[in-house]
Amino acid sequence: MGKPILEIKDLHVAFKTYAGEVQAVRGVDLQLEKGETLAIVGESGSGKSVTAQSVMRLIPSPPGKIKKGEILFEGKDLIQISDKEMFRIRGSEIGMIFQDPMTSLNPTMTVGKQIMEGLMWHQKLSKDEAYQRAVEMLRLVGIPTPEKRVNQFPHQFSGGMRQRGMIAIALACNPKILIADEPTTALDVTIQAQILELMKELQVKTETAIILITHDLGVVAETAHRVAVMYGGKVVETGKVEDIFYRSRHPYTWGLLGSMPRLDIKREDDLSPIPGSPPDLFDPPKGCPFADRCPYAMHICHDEMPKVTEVTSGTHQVACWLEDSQAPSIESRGAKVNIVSQ
Amino acid sequence: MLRFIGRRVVLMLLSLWVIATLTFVLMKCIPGDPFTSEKKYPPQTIANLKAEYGLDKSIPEQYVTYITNLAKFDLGFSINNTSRTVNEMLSDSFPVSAELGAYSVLLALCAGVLMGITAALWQNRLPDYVMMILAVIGISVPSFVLAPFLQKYFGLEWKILPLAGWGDPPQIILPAAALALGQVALIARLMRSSMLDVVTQDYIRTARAKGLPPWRVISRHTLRNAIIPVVTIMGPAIAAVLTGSFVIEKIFSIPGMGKYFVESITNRDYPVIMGTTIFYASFLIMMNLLVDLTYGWIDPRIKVGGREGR
Repeated sequence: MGKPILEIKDLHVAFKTYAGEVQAVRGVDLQLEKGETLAIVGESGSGKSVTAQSVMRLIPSPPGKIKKGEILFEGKDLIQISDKEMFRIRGSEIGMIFQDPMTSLNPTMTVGKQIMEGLMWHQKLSKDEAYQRAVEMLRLVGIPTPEKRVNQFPHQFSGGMRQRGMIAIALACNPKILIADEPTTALDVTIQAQILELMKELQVKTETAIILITHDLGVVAETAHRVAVMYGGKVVETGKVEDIFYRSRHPYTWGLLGSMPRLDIKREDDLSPIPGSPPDLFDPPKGCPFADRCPYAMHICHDEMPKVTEVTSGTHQVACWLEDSQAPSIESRGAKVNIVSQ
Repeated sequence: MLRFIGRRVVLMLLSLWVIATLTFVLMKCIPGDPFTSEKKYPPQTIANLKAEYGLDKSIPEQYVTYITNLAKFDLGFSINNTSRTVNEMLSDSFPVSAELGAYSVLLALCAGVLMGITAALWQNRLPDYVMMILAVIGISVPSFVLAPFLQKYFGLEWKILPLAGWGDPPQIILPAAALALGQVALIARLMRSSMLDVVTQDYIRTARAKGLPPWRVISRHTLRNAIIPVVTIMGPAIAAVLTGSFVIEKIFSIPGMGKYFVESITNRDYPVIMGTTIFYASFLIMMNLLVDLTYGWIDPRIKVGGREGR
């Protein structure tokens, strides 16, 4: 493991609303290595999108505000640098693609122009050079007859092609990091698979590090090298993809895995959803955010946030009181682990 | 595209025929005729005059004659002003009205769009409040109230602009401003809400994620999308400016078409009534067609002509 290309330290983000302040992200620590895919998983409202948007400084502000923390990219703290420096990094060093390709492209501009724009701004390419590059990018993302498509408008593209177009825009300037915020959620399943395959391929070609935000564990298994599980504005478990799927230690991760539909369970067996609902982030719990829904919750879980424990040094970390030496024996958990992952 | 325009022209002719017929019927409903006046003429004189203008024939006959002449672009002679044809009257006065109208539509568009953008960019801050208060005033104060005020201050008290008249470029400023005000207000409000709607769209976030600085995001992505609703109301706006010009031309003594339009009705000068109405109607219909074509050019999703493309 080398030096991480992106390091998020103790990030806190809050949104002011009429009802009070929502603590959307409450102390997130993450590292992204060069060329790897880090998946951030969690249910709606767990803070995964907010974390990603903070990296791009795209949090709508007001009402959003980064309260505390550091986001280190190549030694620079992205929270501290000037807007001008940020304009240079956005799009050129860090690219981003969004959930809904139907609405994420400007309907009044040709797809080619939308790709060219970033190139002409960041790399000061001439119109012709940028145009050539736009055609190349469309070819790279697998759009047939790119010479023709480059002059078409988004409404002449299908959903999957638009997402390919989005990827072309995001990768046009060869960014070191690509943030993909639920890139396949709005697409149908076959197209999903194609887009994921494309992202994997491009990653090998361009050596871009990817942050993949998703709530779909199938997507994670397919593409990610490492996984961070978020809950209630905090990272509860991080590890290699095998760690999370086969050796997970956090009850919330078990819950997530248990609620995932699988081919190898019998039809009569229902999915096991996690009972209850996520914590109220207007008034976040002082203990573990999952304590109220956790079948293994102890007194201490409600009172104090557990420390991060290294399961495997440097790779697999979990924040759970069950890791404490005084916690009850491991067998009850072992049984559960076997049910959810094999 | 050509097919679309062709179809529209056919529809235009159809609506013009309907308008001509309606105007003819309504005109005949006005009590009296062109020769009704306080002075009593001998009945024989009246009868001779009526025969001269074909008004002694039955109404269906008059209608047929009228429509046939119209198809030949012959609008006939004015009854009150026997030396001039209606065509001459229109070709003298229309350029004046058109110039005034064009300037005020241009003013309405520029000022309205700029005000709307300002208000949207400083939403809920001082510039926004100032713009929107101005817009409310603009919508509520009718032009015939505003015009004398403009004359009083700019013309009489401060003496910066000419009071009235036509021919000198500065003379166009006050009437154009008075005529444009209501439209400025309307366009400003529309532009503001449209901008505010567009800036929350996903594609604006995409543009920002590309690293474009704010002014570039606004100029390249926000404006074009935000202006679409404004283009849609340009048709009605042109209509409003045209109809408003009757009053304004009177107040500023401008030799435009408005005068003939109003006077012809009080004088029951049949050929002039018909001529001006038909002319206004066809002009408006043309403007609407133009707006529709512009619409398709600004927003590529709107395929003017249908059935084209994929």
